[in-house]
Amino acid sequence: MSPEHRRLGLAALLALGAATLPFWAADQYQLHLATLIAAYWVLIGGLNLVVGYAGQLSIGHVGLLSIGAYGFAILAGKAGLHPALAVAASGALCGIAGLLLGLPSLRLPGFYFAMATMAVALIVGEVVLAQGELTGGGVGLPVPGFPAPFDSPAGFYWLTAAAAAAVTWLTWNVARRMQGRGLIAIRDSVVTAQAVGVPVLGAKLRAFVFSGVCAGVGGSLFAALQSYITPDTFHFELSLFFFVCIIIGGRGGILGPFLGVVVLTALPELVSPLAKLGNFFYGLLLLAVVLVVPEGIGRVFELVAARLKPRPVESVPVQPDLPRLARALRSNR
Amino acid sequence: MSPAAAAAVQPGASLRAVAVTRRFGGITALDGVSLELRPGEVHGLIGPNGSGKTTLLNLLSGYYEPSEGAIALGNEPLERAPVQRRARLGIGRTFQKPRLLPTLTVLENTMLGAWPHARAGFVETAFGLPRAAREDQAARSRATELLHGVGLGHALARRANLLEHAEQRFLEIARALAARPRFVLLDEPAGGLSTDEIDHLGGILGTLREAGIGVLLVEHHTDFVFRVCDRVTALDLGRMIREGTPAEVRHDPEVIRVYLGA
Repeated sequence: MSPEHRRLGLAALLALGAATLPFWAADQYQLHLATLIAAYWVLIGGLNLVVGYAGQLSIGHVGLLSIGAYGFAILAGKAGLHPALAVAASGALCGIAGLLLGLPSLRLPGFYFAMATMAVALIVGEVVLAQGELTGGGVGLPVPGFPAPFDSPAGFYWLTAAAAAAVTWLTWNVARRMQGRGLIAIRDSVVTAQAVGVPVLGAKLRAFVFSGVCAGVGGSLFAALQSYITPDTFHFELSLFFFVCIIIGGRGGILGPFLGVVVLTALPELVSPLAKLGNFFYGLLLLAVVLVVPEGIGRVFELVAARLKPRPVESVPVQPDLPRLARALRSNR
Repeated sequence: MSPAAAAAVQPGASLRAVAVTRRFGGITALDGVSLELRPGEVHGLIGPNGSGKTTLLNLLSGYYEPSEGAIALGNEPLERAPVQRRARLGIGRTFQKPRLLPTLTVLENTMLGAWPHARAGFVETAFGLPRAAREDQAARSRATELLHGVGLGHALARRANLLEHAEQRFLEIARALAARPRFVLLDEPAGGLSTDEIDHLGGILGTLREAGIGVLLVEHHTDFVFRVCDRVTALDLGRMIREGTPAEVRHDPEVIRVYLGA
């Protein structure tokens, strides 16, 4: 079996397990955790194109999550909009926010871009506090749930899981096509990206706006799951958490970051000794991954397999086939 | 070639630098140099280190703007055109130090070169509309042929970071060819290659010439340059000292004095 098939098989298994989760989850709390993971993944799946593929260090996505969450709470709650419409509106709002944030900041190199996204996250938090009339200020805001059949924990889980699956499908489509290669070129060598014709800023901006829309939808689902949001819900560590999930999972893949979210969300909750460690656990895991498997846990199996069964790369002298080259150059010019 | 970009340039047009000067601060790296690269011609660019060869290549491919002078493809002025526009117009290049995407396979690295021909945008691709898959399939089969052509058929699925040096150089050429270029600008493609590999490179350059592609060859292996090139330009200290056939340049006293040695 090729790694490709193995990965697809693993993905299918995960999908099956996720779809049937309400039937085998031990208790309501596990179902809640799974819903939380799915809501996070809606955001992280989109962010993955920005961080994992295009290599842009956005550490401010909690700001977009917060805009999405408050957008949903205000539109579906105070304004009485249908929740489905409110989700769509929050997604659009965060897409626009992503555009406004990305347009100036994506021109900045590496760390300066990271600082800009962090600044925006902090500003959003302050604005939420200051606009008490609209957001409830420090007291917070109740968030309405979804109508039947999504009003039960299982129903809402399936809704969130469906959104997570949709985001996965969208990013997978981008990742495996020319658009995805263009993003990877921006990450690994901007000079190469330019040389082959990739519009660097435009490609980054598209991925960033997409991640904004995902953050808006994810924020809406996240808020509905919490049922009550305050500025403290959107602490800056959450932003780092999103970023760290992708780094621990591995850049340039989808399964890896997904495993990253699952591990980082579920493990501390399910294994109580780890919960006591709190952030220490994150730090330890991050350190372990960066030192031992810098390519991310998404590739651990592959790397272990390669270690167990080393296939020496045999050196074959480069031997051009000039008639074939000539044919290839002539074809459909 | 994308139809809109191709329509702007007549077939048979040459890529020209006309009296280009490029200054970096107070240093004049290139001083009033002209060069015409014709389709189906292998044009060598030689000179000592610091003579301005790579600067000229960067001016032609768009990484630098000239301080003075003009760059044009046919009647199309290019001196302010970004690198990406020149790529769409059919100007490809390789790098002195190969710049590959280490985590992608050899095949995917080559497919990236077909970017100018991919019309499916981000949203269209995300929603899985058929055009993106179709274009990918076309890029894949063409890249496969090109890779077999340049001698990397054995390494299609290998990650680029596992390639040997010569393989990296040939992969860069395949990637440039995946764009169906009119011109390829090669920055020291023979650097670090064995004698056999240099011969292979020569064969590839000959095939490009026959396919009507203009090749600019920046190179230090002067024997190789004089063997494979139709015309040669010699630079020294940012100035052109001689342009002509390999025989003319090789026996030019000035070229011998500053570069070839007695």
